[in-house]
Amino acid sequence: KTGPKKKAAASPTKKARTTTTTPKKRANTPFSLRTCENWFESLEDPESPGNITYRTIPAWLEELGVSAEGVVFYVIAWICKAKQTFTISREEFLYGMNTLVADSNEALVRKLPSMLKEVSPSHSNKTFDTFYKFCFNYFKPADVKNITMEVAQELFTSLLDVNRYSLSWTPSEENANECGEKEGDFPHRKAFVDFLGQSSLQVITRDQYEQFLPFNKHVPWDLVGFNEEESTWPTLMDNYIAWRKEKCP
Amino acid sequence: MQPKTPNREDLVQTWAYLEEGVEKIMKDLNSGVDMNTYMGVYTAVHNFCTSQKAVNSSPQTLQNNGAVHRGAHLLGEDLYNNLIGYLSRHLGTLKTDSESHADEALLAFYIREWDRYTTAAKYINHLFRYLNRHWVKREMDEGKKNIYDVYTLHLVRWRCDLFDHVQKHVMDGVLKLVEKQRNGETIETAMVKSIVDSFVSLGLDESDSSKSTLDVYRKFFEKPFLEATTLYYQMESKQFVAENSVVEYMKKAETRLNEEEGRVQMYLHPDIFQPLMKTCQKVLIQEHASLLREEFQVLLDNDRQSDLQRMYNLLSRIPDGLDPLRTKFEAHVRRAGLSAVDKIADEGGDNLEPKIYVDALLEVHAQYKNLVDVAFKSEAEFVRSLDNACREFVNRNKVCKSASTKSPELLAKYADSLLRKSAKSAEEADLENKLTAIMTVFKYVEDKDVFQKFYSKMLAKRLVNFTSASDDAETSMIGKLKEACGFEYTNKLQRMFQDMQISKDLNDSYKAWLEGKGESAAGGVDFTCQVLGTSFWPLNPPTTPFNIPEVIVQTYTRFVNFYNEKHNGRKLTWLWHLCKGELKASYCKATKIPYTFQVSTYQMAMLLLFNDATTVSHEEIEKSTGLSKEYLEPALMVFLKAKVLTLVAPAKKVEPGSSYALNFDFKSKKIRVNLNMAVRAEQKQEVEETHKTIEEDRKLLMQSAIVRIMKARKVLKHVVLVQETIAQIKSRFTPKIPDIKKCIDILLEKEYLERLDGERLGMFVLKVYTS
Repeated sequence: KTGPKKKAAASPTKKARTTTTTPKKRANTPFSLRTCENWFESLEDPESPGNITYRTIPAWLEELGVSAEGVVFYVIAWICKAKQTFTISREEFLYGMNTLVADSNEALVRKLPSMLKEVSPSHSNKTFDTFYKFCFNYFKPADVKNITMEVAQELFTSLLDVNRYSLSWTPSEENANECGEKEGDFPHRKAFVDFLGQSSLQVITRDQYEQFLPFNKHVPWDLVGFNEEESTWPTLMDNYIAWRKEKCP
Repeated sequence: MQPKTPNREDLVQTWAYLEEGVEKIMKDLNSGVDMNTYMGVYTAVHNFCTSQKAVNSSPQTLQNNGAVHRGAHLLGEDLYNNLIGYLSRHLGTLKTDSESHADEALLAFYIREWDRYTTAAKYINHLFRYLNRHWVKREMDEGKKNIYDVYTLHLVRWRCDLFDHVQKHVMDGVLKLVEKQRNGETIETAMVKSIVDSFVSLGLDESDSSKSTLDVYRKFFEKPFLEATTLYYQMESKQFVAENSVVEYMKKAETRLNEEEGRVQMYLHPDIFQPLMKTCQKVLIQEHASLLREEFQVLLDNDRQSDLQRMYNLLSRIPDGLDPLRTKFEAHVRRAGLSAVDKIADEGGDNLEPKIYVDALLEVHAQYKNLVDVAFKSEAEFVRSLDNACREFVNRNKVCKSASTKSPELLAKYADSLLRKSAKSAEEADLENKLTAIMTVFKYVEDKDVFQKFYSKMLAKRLVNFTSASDDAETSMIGKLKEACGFEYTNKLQRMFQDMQISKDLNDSYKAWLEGKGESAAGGVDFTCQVLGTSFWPLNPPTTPFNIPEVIVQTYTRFVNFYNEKHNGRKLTWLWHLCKGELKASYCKATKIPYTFQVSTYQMAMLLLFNDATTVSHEEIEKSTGLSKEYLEPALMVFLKAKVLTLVAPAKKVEPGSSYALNFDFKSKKIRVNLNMAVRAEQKQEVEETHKTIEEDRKLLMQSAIVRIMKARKVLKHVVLVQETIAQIKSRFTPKIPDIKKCIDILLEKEYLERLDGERLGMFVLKVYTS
């Protein structure tokens, strides 16, 4: 569970100090704000003081021993409630790690498996739903309403792949299944991304992004029961289905 | 000779007396019945029925006074039964007699005897009135069955003792007679009528003798009559159809139906009208309906109006008779429309004349409208079929194949050609008729918004160029459009007329303003302009830069000053591409009277350069006018073609590097030379632009409809929203569902709408959350 918001808004240094002097119930994982701050500084981008950025993230992930192409970083950003794409500010980091009770790479690695499990993708998992929606906002530039096609394809590919919610996942495991999974909670994942790849669209709207979840739930891989006339999906989904039908009738 | 009135107590004696009287009335009424006999019988009945009161010696009556009543009772019954016995004997004789007659002779016999019998019955009824009034009445009051007043008793006996035995033979006679008539022979119709009447009279209401029913008639006359009719016409029509054409058959059937109607009026009971017509229609029409319908297409192909009318009349008489015709008619009209369009499309190619196209549509419509009116009596369903067919071929034909919006475009162009000043302007009344005809096609056009776009573009041109033929005609046309599509549809068109009026006043006050300043129309430039509201006029600002020629700069600035003085804060955009002017060419050697060149402002700017030099290079013209290539080159080409300018060798064509010289030898038959011609490429581009704006407008129209609906309904299912949007927009054009969905997507993206519930398929709800 994430802490109340005001905690993040208040000066973290002051708040954290009280935390260290009065140890919490979870005594076996002591949290030190000072350690945490030092940790942050070791990850901080010297060119953008106060932030962890795309320049320092790959090295960090390497230290954590996880693949840069997995979902681990997205989950960390989500825990921190980060606002700006590929950036975690000092406040966001301290807030997030405090919530997680982790003040080092080792502590974080210990915590991550349960976090990954908590957000793993399925229709019944409400936490996944909020995580999924968070990602749209996180990767959306502040002044526009949509995400770029490239980002959208990456998000659909990784967020809906249950295998990636593991520390040990590596890219080599992909490509095992040529024509998408067709089964599981998100049968359209791969085919849809392929469809997007060949379309000339530049962006994906929030509606299209969010509707892809229920779309996977209600439209089976073989498209049985789909009625074009009565479809209430965004036009993009209708086009996808038309494309699918044309491709493999 | 008259026997004495019999002893009132002696039944045998009394009845013998009575029977003699009754017999006389029954058999020999014509020779007359004298008063004594009549009175005698009447009195005897009275006496007999009242006899018990006068007898005192009878032991029974002494014992019990109540027996007086019972005695009278019994005695009345004796008379009644004796009368029945008499009637049965009489009718038995008749029955035997009837067996020696057949056919018409039997009918004559039956009628004769019936008349005699019923006449006698009336008299006898009168003579036995005392019996009726007392004994019969009491019996009936006590609820006894099968007791009737004497007259009714006669009828009942007739029915039991004679009718039941002879009715079949009588009916045979009747049917033979009618068949003779149907075969064209003359018959004595009064005979049948009498039979009908007698059958009807026998219909007695068992519960109330004062009323009659048609039961007997229906059972013994109507039923066999209808059966015989069916049989007769089945035979006849089968044979007739085999030997004659369908058209001939329809005539025959029509005649037969009329004949049967006449038959009812002449000698049948009116009650038979409905069943008889139904029977005839079934046999004559229903059983040959498919044959008739097959012929329908042939008649349509050959335009046989009167035969079609006949067919309509016949088939309209049977249930669901016309439905298959309507379907065929609709398909036929559609084909006719399509092939008419095919023909002109092949002839006209890409440059199809709007008039030819519209006339072709109208011709097909007029032909079949006339058919519907005359042959199908303007029946609502046929009108609907016609409308459906017309809507189909007006909106989806060969010409529309390239763009579905071609019909409204051509229609609007045709309207323009009528309303624009031209050499052969139509007569006022004729023009009005043609405008009405345009509305006929307009009614069928689905993309009414396209018509509106083109119409307003061309109206704007007519107004700006002062080429409108008649204000009355313009007003009339807008009135018609308003009537068809409502105020909103013509609002902008009307505002355009208002702007023209306002501009006229503005020019007047500009002149007054100039005079007030003591300046005449300076620089020798005569100047008028129109100031038009941007939001009402379908006009775009110029797409090319333009340096205003020196000569008109002063005029230009002055008007701008005037206007700003009058309406501070309004922005004027000068539509140079629509401006025109006249130049006097006093340099030409060929004439003493200077030519007047009618030119566009752009052309004016070019020609004015030749005031300073007789040869000007392409680059110089380009530089000093500032015009872009698309405007510069076509205008120059017009000058070269008209030989106002000539190319300076070695230049071969209009291109950078060429030079142009003023042609001093310019010649023209007319003093006024029009050089301001629209270039074909320009026109085409304009059409394309118009189509593009239509697409944009449609998107906006759909979006605003969606928002309007959602504002009213707050929360709505996806499907319902789509349906309501279609309903709202249908009058302008027919939106496609995917296009509506795209608009919903756009509104979602703009965050005007929100999906309330993404969970359940088909239950999407949208919600306006910005006002």
